[in-house]
Amino acid sequence: MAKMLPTILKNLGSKPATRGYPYQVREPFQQTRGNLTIDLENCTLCTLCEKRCPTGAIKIQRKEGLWTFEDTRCVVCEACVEACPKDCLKAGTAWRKPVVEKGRQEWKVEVKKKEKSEEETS
Amino acid sequence: MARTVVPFGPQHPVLPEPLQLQLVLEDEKVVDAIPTLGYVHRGLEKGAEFNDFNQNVFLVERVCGICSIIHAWTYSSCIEQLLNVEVPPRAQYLRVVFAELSRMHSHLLWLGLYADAFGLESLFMQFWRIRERVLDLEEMGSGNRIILSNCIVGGMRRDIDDDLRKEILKQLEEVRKEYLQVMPAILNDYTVNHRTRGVGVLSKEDAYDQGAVGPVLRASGIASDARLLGYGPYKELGFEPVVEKDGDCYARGVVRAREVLQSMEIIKNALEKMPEGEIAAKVKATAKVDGEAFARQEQPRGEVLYYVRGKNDKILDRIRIRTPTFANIPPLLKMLPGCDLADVPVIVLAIDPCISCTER
Repeated sequence: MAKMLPTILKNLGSKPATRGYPYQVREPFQQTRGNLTIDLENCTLCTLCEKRCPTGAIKIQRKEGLWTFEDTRCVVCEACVEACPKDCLKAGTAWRKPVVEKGRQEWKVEVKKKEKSEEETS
Repeated sequence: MARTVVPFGPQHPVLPEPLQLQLVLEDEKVVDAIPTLGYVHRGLEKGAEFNDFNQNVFLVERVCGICSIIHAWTYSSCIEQLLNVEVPPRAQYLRVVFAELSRMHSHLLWLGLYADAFGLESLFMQFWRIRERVLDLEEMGSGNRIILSNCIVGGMRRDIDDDLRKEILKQLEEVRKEYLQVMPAILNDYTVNHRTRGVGVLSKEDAYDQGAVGPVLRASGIASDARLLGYGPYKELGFEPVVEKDGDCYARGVVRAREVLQSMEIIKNALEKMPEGEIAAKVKATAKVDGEAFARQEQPRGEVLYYVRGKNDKILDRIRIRTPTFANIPPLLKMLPGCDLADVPVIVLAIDPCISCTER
């Protein structure tokens, strides 16, 4: 008992080792793979992200210009972020929130022809 | 005497994963044990035949939640052999750092579960509290807690910079202090000693004959470790396998407890000796894989074995994975006969069963 006393007293005064999640959320680390931010303004529909995605979360229909993303399939491995030549996809550190149903987002992408026409004229 | 068959598992408090053992009992003594597997088969080997070789890295990582980076490393080394890619030395050191971090947290998890099996609830939480620090280190370095997604074909994706190196060394020192306070609590405890010494003994000959791997084999006095095979820079880091002689459940605990400290030393050495340079060699995404490759590496639970066959295409023909628990089930069946029914949970836990790995 005498041996345990310092530990007991220390534990009475110390804070708990756990956090009261979800009310108290730890700051994510700088490198954390939390979410995927999609901004398709410069997208050229090159489909590199679709080819690299290991889970098939990204689906692209080039003819219709449709860019589909199923966020429940995404494992945030960031293979698409590394593949994208136009930096349309970016990784964020904040964790994704839990969802009650499978999400499916669609974008209509219009490929800018400007650069191409410049190349053609030059 | 009349024999009774008692099903042990697939749902049992000591088993985090479903394994069924049909125990044939005579009175309270176990005479025979018949294993039943197949409750968590996920078909990952087949799944790997639909992805290309780069995507498969993320798939094989999910074979096991605990030793994910070592799965990715072993698979990558197979593909690197086939594509003749030379991995930069810095990437090899980085792989060692993360592999040893995952070994540390795996053993800490196991020590916690082991304490829990004796009813030492508080000790279980203490081990897991320490483990959480190791997981934070993994997240700082690679972005994820457990499925690191850090190792790819050709090298690593994220580097350890100077700040992070100092942070890891600082945290490891704290982990070491906390761990050295907690570790004797389980190894010197009267109950633990009483219930594990001389229980589930596997002799040196039996361990060899039954093909035991990892800590189970080393606890029986055989200094066999896949890290001695020469993959990764383990030789430069002064690696020596941890060996115990008794071959009982206590010895298996001691091997793992000592390996945590050893992994800490390896990480410190690796961070000090890490050469500068590239962290990944370029691998063409459209490269075609042909031929056969084979790799063996040491996971926290023992030796993992990968066989990869290409068909001159991006997509592989076949991947075969043999995980350590699969190899440790025959030795388990050798340990069980002769023991008391009450000792079965401890003996089963002592091999550190990972059934999801085994069934893939």
